[in-house]
Amino acid sequence: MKTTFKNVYIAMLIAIGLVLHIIESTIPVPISLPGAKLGLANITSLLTVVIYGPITALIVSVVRATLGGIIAGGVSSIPYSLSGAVLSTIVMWLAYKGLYPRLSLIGVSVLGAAAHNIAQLFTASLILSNVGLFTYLPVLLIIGTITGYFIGLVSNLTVKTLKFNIDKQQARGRKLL
Amino acid sequence: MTVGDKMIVICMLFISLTSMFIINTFFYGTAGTSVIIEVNGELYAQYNFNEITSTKYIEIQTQYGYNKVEIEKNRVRVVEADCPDKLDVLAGWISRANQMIVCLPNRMVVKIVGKNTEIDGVSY
Repeated sequence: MKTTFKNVYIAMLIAIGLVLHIIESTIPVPISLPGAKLGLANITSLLTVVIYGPITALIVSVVRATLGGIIAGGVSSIPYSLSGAVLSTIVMWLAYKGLYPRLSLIGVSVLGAAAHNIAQLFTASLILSNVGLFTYLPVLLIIGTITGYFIGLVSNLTVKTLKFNIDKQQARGRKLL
Repeated sequence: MTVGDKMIVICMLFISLTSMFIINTFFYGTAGTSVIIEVNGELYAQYNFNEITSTKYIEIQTQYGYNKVEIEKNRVRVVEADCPDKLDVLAGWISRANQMIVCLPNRMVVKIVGKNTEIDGVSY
């Protein structure tokens, strides 16, 4: 019974991430920027890192990336989104754990976006056995930094409200964490 | 936004803009000599720009998917693809050495090879 609330929260985070993933894939990109995206679903990974720590965050992002790939991106896109989700979650957790008071979630999110881009390009160059793909990394990093900034901004605001709600629930004797 | 955030954002932008400039100036050459089409990391076809007299269309049908490539005298592009996002078609023409167009779902790479720069050598 104690963990039921936590399970519900995790299920909700996965569901929200999945919806954001699908919404994002329906937004058309007018110019050719392969791999460039908003990373809306990264909000849930970042929030899970902050609230529940690395293991739960990995579960949330892996399940979200796999289901999102099946539903929205096509099966061939799963290796890329999976590797990106795993590495960015690990990097975000390390950045949050090591640098949090000095970095806000904006910095954590920008680092996560960079990790996501590097992991995706690494997977792509493994699959195509073509190292030349990394010439595309600077373009991805610029876009990742800009979108990562906004994702961090959203996460900063969300975490405050979410922590307040969780504290309120726990004050009523419900175990959420 | 803390000082650390600003430092990270500025560092990321500086690193990526600098490396973009370096790749654009030194890695991409001026004109390519031939076009290489790779599927799944293996050579599929190679065409020399010298041998292209009129516009040439190449259809690439593999187990990963279908792409149609258009080659002109000194440039190349993808005109048709069956991948969902058609990013390779949107990429447009490429003409400089070492530039490439990638279709990830179909595991296809079109790249131009050739001399790296117009200058053969510089001596002082």
